[in-house]
Amino acid sequence: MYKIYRGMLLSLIFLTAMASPAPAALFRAAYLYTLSDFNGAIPYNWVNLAVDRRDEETYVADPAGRSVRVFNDSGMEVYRFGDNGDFGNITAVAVADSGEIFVLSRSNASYAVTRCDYRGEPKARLAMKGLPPEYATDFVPDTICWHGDRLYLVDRNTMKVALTDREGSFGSGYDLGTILGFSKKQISESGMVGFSVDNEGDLLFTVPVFFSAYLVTPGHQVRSFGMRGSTPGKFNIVSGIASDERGNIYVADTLRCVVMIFDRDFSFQAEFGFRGLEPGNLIAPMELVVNHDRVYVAQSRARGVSVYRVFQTQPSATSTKGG
Amino acid sequence: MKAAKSLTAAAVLTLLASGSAFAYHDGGVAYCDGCHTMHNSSGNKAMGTGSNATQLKGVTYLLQGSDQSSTCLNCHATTSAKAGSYHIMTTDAAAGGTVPSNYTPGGDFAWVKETFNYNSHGTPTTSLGERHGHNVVAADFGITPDSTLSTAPGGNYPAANLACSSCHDPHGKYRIVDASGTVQRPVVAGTGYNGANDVAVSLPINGSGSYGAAPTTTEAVGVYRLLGGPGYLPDSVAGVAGIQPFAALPPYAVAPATYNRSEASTDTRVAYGTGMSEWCANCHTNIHNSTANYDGGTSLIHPASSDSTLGANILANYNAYVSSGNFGGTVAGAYTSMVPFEEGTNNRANLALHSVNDGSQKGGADSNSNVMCLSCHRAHASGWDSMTRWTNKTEFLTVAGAYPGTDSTNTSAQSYGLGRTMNEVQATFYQRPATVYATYQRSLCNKCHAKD
Repeated sequence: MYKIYRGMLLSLIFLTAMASPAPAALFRAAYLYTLSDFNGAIPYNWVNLAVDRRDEETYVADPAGRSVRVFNDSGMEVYRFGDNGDFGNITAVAVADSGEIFVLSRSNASYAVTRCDYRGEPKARLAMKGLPPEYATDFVPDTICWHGDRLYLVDRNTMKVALTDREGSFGSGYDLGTILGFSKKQISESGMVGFSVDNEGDLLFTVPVFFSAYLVTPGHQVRSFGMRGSTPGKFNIVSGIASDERGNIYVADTLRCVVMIFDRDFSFQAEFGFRGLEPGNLIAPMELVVNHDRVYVAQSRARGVSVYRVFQTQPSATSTKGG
Repeated sequence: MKAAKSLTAAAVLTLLASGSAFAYHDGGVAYCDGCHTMHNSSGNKAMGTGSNATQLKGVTYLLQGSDQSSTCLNCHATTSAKAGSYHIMTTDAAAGGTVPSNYTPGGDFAWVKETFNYNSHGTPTTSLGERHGHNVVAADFGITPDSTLSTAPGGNYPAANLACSSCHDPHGKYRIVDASGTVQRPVVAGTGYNGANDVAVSLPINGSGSYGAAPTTTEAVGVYRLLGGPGYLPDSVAGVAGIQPFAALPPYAVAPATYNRSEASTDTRVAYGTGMSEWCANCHTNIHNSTANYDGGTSLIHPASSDSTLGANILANYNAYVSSGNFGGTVAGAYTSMVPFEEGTNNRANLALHSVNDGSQKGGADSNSNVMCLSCHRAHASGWDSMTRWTNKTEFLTVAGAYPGTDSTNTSAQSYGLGRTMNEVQATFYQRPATVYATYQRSLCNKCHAKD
């Protein structure tokens, strides 16, 4: 009897494997370390991340600790600021190509963006100028990022993005809910979680309740991908999203505890992390950023920010760029 | 996965395809792999077969989280930046810093992680986080078992096993099948508890029962907030000495569709109907009982039940009370969500008329109204000890027209915040301005008792 069940089980496994062939193993991820100071790994939960590609540094905005810490490319803290209360409730940080640092603070329904020098010394509080009416009310950015010469102010709840210069002068904006055709109710009940800007200036974001990731070009063309499920490459509760120089897209799944890799044509390539308590595992990953071949993942359970190196052994079959 | 979708003109198609995504639970059991892992083992270890049993390693109950509550909080927790909607815990809140920013009627579980220190009449005093709410054990989110109360006050439910699923039936099997509010749970005969509400054949659930939707002749709606009903017994406590399946029906209540919001301008009114206190007594059986209290004392005899109608004097007080020293209100504007009451009915259609967030339903109590546990306590957590809606440990809730706090410029007001900042105190009042109260407002017990 045991053999019968065993045979049935093996057959089932075989059929399952045949029914969903694994993608070519073009990617491999290796856990490197967790962002640390001299006392060891820092037990962050769900912090905001930014990278300074010029200086190979990683910035962590910690709302609970009301500070911004800077880490070198070995994952060691080299500097911190904001813990004197200068910024209030720090929500997010962005680093311009010039080395200037922008800090977003929030208090209830108000926000402030402070421009700092490379040492984190506050230089100016941005006075938002020229904001259209739709960005003047009910627009409270909860994250920021920098691309090109623009600061992206993102209100993930209303799904609006305002682009300003370093002084806070409005240049353009995206009403992503409208662009996607969402109703007001859909926007209020969904909203974005992950958000980033790729090398082409495209907006990447996730809407977990739709089990989807989206790419919106500066010309407002929209592409999306994602399919609900719990098997590799499927979306359960997706969160952070970012891309690398080759156009590969990394998507965190908070529920499945993985980071998925898709090529620029949205074909699933590989995933890594997986729920568990080993150093290389993930627990409820949320935000992520990519710097060259390194992927930084913020997670829960006071497990801090895990850093992985992703190796791409050859271009994916559908990739049209990079190599 | 070839799921790329060109969407410039086809956004509508995507939305149609995923239009049901908003209501994940839909009043009943959600899709299995939303909570359980079928294909992924813990740490992505190979799922072995045969004698290699140690490889067959999933997490408890094959959950996606480390435990029951962590699984729920994977979706229902968020950072302060994304607070709102279906979130019930602010992960980056910290005592003295970012305030818990979810304002659901049940409260923000972040409070159970915030400990406050203060001087009480010269004595160093601590308000432990674990005193602020139900300590639903969630390893992934840093919520640990209550270290003081090993079992539910007034009952035997073990603190170590307390989880979201202790109260909410994650599989949502209880349902309302008719306009009179009949609750049923379909069960397979001979598979366990079989109470009066268990039937072999019932109706399928087609939506949430939390917002007033009515069942039809062919489809049921879920019960309020997927709460457990008669016979409910989480697997994690099955067999624990002294633990019995729930005896009481889920309470009848209707919430407005948008309920996680600041109440700075208008109240979020959940229309509580009946049965809340009886349902809480599933676990807190002997609390607030005139004959047997969990601590053997006799202090906890405040009434709280569907039979505990307000009585003429309390009713008059509730409807007249505005603030300390001001008893000149009218019944038309008497309601406050800081001191809610049950309306004494299971008529969900009528309850739905009162469940608003726009301030259009401010009507006070009537002779059918009764006091309940939630008149004074929040169901999840609050900023105060014993998870009360306001503190009962200071004389004044406001001082000189402002909320007190450690950062108050009025030094005489600082101690009244009991270690909280002014922002934190205001957050416990769901962002109401202090001006809605008296300049020196006393306990909101006075909403019913009018002693101030």
